[in-house]
Amino acid sequence: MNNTILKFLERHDFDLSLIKKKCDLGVKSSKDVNPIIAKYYIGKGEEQQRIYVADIVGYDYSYMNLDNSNIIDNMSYFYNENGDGYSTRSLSLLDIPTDEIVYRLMGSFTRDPMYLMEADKGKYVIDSNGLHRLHILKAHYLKELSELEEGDAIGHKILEDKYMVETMARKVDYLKTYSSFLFQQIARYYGCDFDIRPQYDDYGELTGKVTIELRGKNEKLVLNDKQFIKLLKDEIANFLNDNSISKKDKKHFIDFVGQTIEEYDSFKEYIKQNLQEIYNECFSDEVEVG
Amino acid sequence: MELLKCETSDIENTEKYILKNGEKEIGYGYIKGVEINPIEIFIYENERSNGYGKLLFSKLLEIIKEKEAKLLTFDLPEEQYRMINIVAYSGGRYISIKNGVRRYILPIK
Repeated sequence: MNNTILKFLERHDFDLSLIKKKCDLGVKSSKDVNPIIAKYYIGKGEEQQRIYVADIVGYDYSYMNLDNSNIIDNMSYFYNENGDGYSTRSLSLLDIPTDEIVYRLMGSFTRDPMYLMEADKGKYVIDSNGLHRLHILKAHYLKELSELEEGDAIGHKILEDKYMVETMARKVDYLKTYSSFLFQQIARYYGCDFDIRPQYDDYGELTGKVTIELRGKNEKLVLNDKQFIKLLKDEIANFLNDNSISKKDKKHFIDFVGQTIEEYDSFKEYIKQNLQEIYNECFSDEVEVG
Repeated sequence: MELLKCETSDIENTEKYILKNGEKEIGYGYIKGVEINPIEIFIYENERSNGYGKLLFSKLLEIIKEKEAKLLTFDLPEEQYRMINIVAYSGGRYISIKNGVRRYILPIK
């Protein structure tokens, strides 16, 4: 931790040991939150959204060679009076007291929005803008959080209301992302590789459809959500009935989907909404495969 | 700060531009006649973290606008987080990822 941050903590009466004792200081990347979404992401555009600072769980720290264990320590990268332009440009934010920090930053949320990426339902990471502000907001938020008494529901609500910030949030298209994920899992058993992307028009507007291209082939399918799900269902059914695929592989696929359902609520929701048969297959007492 | 077009480019089928602050070279960039990654920039290491990347990119974008392009596509490996930030900051929309390479589309307005 550099002197700039040490002075900041002292100036605003931070009790670092209390914060460490009572709060989670960890930083999560999109991969930490949900590696499936991070790997198979298909977006459905961005929207202005008020988000609770507590739900902005981190950023992709690895590219800055930062640690993920302590967001307050990481402030030294972004605020350093002896550093380069990047770490000196927002030093004035360190002077703002806890009571005023959100209010004083309000104008900036409109002028120069923080761009977030949805990492999973209700969880966001900084995408392309807002790292300096995230750190200062989180620091003050964690300070106030640590000062709350155990079970102080009203205090928590006041904190939530205070630390709601306007952002631009890049949203996940869960149907397309998870369908792409499952499609690629099956394709792997056949040694295939598909290029699955959202379709957009000449002006960059998403059409709501996906394009699927088998690598090395010149054919492209363009499908809406209903068609995409139908294709996926057909592929899964064909796979489970394919005699050239071993029972072991089929069971492995079903078990894998089952584990993923248990691990990620958003995936469970997707499966229940679109592939109820697969859900039943995963959690029936006897898994019958062809 | 000024952007100067080079008479010739060291990369085929590209236009090369140099970003200068007085006599000092800050970096350079290319406008490429290709569908994917039509703008490429490089800022000298000791000049980084000062916003020059965004500046250079925006200037090259202005040139591309004059060529009546409607939409640019960028495929950027996740490690290229600086370029990703510049493209996203300039209006690029992250639409998908494949093998650790993010696709951004940037509508030209």
